[in-house]
Amino acid sequence: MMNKYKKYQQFLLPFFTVILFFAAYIILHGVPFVTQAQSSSTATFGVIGDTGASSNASAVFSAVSNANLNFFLHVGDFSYDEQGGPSGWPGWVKGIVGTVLPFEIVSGNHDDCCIDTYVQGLPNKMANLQGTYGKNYFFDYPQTSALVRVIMISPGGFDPDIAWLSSAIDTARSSGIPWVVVGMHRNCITTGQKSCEVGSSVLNLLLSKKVDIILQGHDHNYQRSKQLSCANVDTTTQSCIVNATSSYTKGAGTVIIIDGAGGNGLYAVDSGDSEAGYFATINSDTYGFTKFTVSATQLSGQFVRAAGGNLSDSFTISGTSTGTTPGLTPTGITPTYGCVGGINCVPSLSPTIAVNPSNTTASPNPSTSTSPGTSVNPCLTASNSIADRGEHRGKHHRKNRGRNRGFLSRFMAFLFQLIMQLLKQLGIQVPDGTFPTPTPSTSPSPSTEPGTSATPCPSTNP
Amino acid sequence: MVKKLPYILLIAILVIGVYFVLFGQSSSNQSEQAPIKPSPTYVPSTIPQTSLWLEPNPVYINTAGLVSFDVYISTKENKAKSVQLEVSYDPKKLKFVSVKPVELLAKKHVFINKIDAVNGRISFGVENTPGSHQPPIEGTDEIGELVFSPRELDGSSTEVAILPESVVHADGVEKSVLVSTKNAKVILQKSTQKNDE
Repeated sequence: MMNKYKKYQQFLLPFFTVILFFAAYIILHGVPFVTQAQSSSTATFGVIGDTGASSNASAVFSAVSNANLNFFLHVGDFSYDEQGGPSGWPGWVKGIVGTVLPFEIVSGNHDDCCIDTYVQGLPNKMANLQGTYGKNYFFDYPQTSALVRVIMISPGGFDPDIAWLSSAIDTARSSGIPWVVVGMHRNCITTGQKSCEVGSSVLNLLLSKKVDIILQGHDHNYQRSKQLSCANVDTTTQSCIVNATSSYTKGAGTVIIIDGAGGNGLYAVDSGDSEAGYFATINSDTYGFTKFTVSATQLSGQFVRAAGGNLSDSFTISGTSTGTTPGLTPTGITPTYGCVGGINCVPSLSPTIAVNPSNTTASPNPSTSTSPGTSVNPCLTASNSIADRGEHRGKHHRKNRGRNRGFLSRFMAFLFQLIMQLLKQLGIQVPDGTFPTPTPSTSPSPSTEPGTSATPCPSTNP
Repeated sequence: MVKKLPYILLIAILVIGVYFVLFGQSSSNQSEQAPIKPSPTYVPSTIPQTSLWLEPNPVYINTAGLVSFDVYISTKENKAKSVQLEVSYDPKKLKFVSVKPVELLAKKHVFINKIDAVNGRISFGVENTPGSHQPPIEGTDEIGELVFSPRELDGSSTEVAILPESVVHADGVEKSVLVSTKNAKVILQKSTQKNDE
């Protein structure tokens, strides 16, 4: 009996040590591979406008920093000259949300003067960005197998070229990117204080192409529209409302989110406004940002309260439709809208966009045909790729944990190496790998900012 | 002793394992909570911090032949519930046209709107509509539009002043929280620049 037992005795220690090692590893670091798989199938991002640097803005950005986002969009009116204005405010906001979170900006009316300074303080972190960061640009997220194309434009400030905008939407559709989100500062339809400052032609284009979401600020309140197929200014056209609930069907229309409740004083909304019929939710007493979660088949939005009142709002868009036929341009849109003399215009990515004048209504059958050739310049660098950011984020994450259990992790790393040696000595083949050693807590967190260049990728804007 | 060695080893490993599990769980909980920053709770400041000013400054006669100002407020950490503007101007050089609340004051209750065209004095006050639970007036933003017409375009200048008698009341503060005002200069000639937006 004893001899028989002795035969296995040498395996006891490594066996139980391995079991304990994996148990401890799972407790400390989570189940391997599961997190990675989840992160690639969904993406989360937030949006806000009109912040300033008051206690309300601090509360909003604190909520952002706790929201576990992949990236964040600010749709303009950043500082209101608080906290040092264009040169100082970016540092203030990074002090709250950190430097790891990609914080992508587009100019608001208070920023048009000095957007280049803001761009230096809050540079682009998206590897595949095209256009002019801060004014008119787009990027896809994630970089590979993108779930969403985010198009940020500045109509009313730095007017986008309408053909460029149209092409950016079409190429997203033809590339099979499930969701198209367009962000800008100014409004068109609203129940608040503002008027159609973006121009109805821009709104009509986006609605006719059935972009999934339009994000805006400017009106300091929160408003979520119903799902719309069209919109007429200063009136509510009932036939434009596709779906008045909170559960929408992808490809049926567009939902407009106005979230200018970022911290600066709130403006009143009016439920009796002539455009109020377009909106499902309006609120003017709560500060907060809007959080989006996207997967291949669903986009969900949720207002995240930070201060003030107690607004709660959420919605989902589900389905697999890809919107309208690429190349569609509605009537009444001049291709050179807002681009007098080429000033402040983003040139079209393709030499020409095929516009079929007869094809001016949305196709009910989404097409997956290739749109007019837009050459995609991925503009990748080794230092700012999303893969790198993921690595940095992982390191940052581990760094935080390492503060609490540096000794334990180092001990586990030692055990790991020991077990590998033992298993090798026993003739058992082991996969090559290294235990994730914690970053020393005294080391600086890895910077993901691609230098100090305002536009890390070559700009297409003159 | 040799016989018992495996058992001793086994027990030791189990003890260490239990320790790891408990310590690891505790450590894991701590580290999950550590990066989460608590949402700050703020109490409105009772220290007066609010400013009022006019933009643009200086202002020229716009394309419509008018002198148009935007009235701005910055409350910092004050949460105002009413704003009363006391404005003076030279009635010999300017004629009052209109004053209206916008943005932060839009759709709120106008409790005073008194124009003294003889002495050049405007009293204009807006407050949160009683019983409406409107949000406080806070932040840095436009609160009003003030329009005059020039009596002469002689190229001279005059001043429009927000008087210290202006009052901004805030929650939790008995006295006015207004600490500074800034006047604006009017150049009585047409501008080549667009300043009438």
